[in-house]
Amino acid sequence: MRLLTRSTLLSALVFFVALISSGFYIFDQVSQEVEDEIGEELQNRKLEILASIAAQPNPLVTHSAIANDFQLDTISQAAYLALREHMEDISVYELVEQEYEPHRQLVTKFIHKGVYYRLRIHMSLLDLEDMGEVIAFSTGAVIVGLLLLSFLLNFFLQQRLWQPFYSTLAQLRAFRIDQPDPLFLPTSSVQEFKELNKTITNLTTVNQRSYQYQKQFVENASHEIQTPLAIALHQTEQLIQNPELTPADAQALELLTQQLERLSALNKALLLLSKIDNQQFGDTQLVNLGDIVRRTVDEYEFMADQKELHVQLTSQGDLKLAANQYLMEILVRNLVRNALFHAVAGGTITIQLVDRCLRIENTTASVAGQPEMLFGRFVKQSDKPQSLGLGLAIVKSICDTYQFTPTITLEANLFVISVQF
Amino acid sequence: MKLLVIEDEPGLSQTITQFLQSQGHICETATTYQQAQEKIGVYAYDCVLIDLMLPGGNGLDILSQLKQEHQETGAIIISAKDSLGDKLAGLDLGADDYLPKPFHLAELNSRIKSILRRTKFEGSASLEVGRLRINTEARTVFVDNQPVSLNRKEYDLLLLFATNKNRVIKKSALAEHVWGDNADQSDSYDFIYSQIKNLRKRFSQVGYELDIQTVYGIGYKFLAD
Repeated sequence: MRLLTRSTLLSALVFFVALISSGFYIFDQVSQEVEDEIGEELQNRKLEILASIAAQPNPLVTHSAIANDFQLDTISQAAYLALREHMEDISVYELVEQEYEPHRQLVTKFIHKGVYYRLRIHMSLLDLEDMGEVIAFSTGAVIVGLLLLSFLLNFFLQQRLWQPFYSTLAQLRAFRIDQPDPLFLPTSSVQEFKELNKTITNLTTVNQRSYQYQKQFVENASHEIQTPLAIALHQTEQLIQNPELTPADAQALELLTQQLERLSALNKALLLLSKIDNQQFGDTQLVNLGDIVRRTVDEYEFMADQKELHVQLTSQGDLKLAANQYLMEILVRNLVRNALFHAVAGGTITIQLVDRCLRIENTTASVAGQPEMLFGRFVKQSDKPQSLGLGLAIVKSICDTYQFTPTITLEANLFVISVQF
Repeated sequence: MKLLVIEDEPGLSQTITQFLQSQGHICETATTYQQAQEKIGVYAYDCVLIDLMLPGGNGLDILSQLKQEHQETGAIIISAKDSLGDKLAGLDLGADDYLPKPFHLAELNSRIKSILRRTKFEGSASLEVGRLRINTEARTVFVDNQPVSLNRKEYDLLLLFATNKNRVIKKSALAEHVWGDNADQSDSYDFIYSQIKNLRKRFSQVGYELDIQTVYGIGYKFLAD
């Protein structure tokens, strides 16, 4: 949930509860006031009635017929003694409205000329009920109004206030440590945002710098390793020219040469990887991928012949991409070589270039582990120790550079690599 | 032929020089920018090898000086940087070839000979090894004036053998020469053998035995007079 939504909802909830309880409070206060007022009215009425009765010989006869707001009854002495003056709520049938309405009733007693009387005076509470309704409606309206106001206020105000934060967030989302572009964080007069941006800027600068150092280190190290490797390789090349080499020396030289060449190949691959990662293949042109695929397949025909592989090439039209020619050639070459290298002898390799997708299948014995892992560096199959395990890592790196999507899938005895351009 | 090696790494300069001398060239060295400038200013060479990163300056400047003063001298850039920008800049300035480090001596030999053929014989020279004649301009091969048809890879392979006759050429040098400078390449060494077999077959079809010997597990040697 967004911060803005959450804060708006929370404040709306608090407002709602507060307004509902204030509605109840107001109603309670008002109804108490009204009840007090009616109580006083009833007391007044009682005094009026008692005053008018005082002169009458028989209050029952004179009054019960004309007075519709009170009832007068004679009661026994015992009942008289038991009765305490009190107020009560009753329902009275109203002829006009044809329904029962709430009334407040004062029950009291008096002695007139030795006779015990009970006097019950009532008064309609309708006013109060109406008032409650009015209060409820008006508070309701106020609630809705205030909620809407708070919602809008919160939303727009917060949106404005948090603007620098969201802008920072958007920048961070687009931030890539392997890109040299610095962040342009918005300036803000809010202390917290200022600090946040300062911290983020520091953090990203430090990270970017150490990432650059690390990348640069690999490249520099590879360069430095090249010269001693070249010298050592040249020496072995000269040594093998000796016609008087003993077989044992020759064997040792062969091993030495092999290992030096392996080291050299490794170094070259690492250098290539670091160059790709360092975006040193900037010059982009329109590259015809179909051409490259056909040329590469043609170039490696010898490998297919040697392993008696059946190579099927299907390309629908020519896919032209804006990319670096050299990198695209390496991409295709590594994929084709990988398929040729790992295909079982006598198997089939299917290469398809259809719908901006290059799909290369080869029949395979078995592949251990997660297929996606094969894009990692130095990942190789144990039965192929001479492989450097960098071929597919280079493919992945090139794909990352151009935002292509490479995928590996295993289908029965088929190893399938496809690259979506 | 008289060559100059401009290379600041003493070890590398030494092995290259030794090798070139063993090939019958007169070879001089320069280890700094200034030394290179002086030698180029004073002497004329048939071919100059130029390392790009030199103490005191950039090899590209040496190259442009060389091409101003001795238009006919061949130049090969040997660089550890292997960057396309340097390669293009070098070739623009008139370099005849670009060889990224580390390279095989056999490859260097082949490239130098190719340049010398072009500069000394105005491109018309053909390479003659025993009964073999290779026209490097037309990329055609003859045995006793009888043409032998080779595909591109077979021709490349033969040319490296011919320019390095009686020398052991490592399998890796053959692989790189024919299939290009690839990283994860250990897989292609095994295929050299079948390519050489094919090459022999082409020549036996015209009645010529190509004498290419296996030297232990290391490489191959083309024996010729």
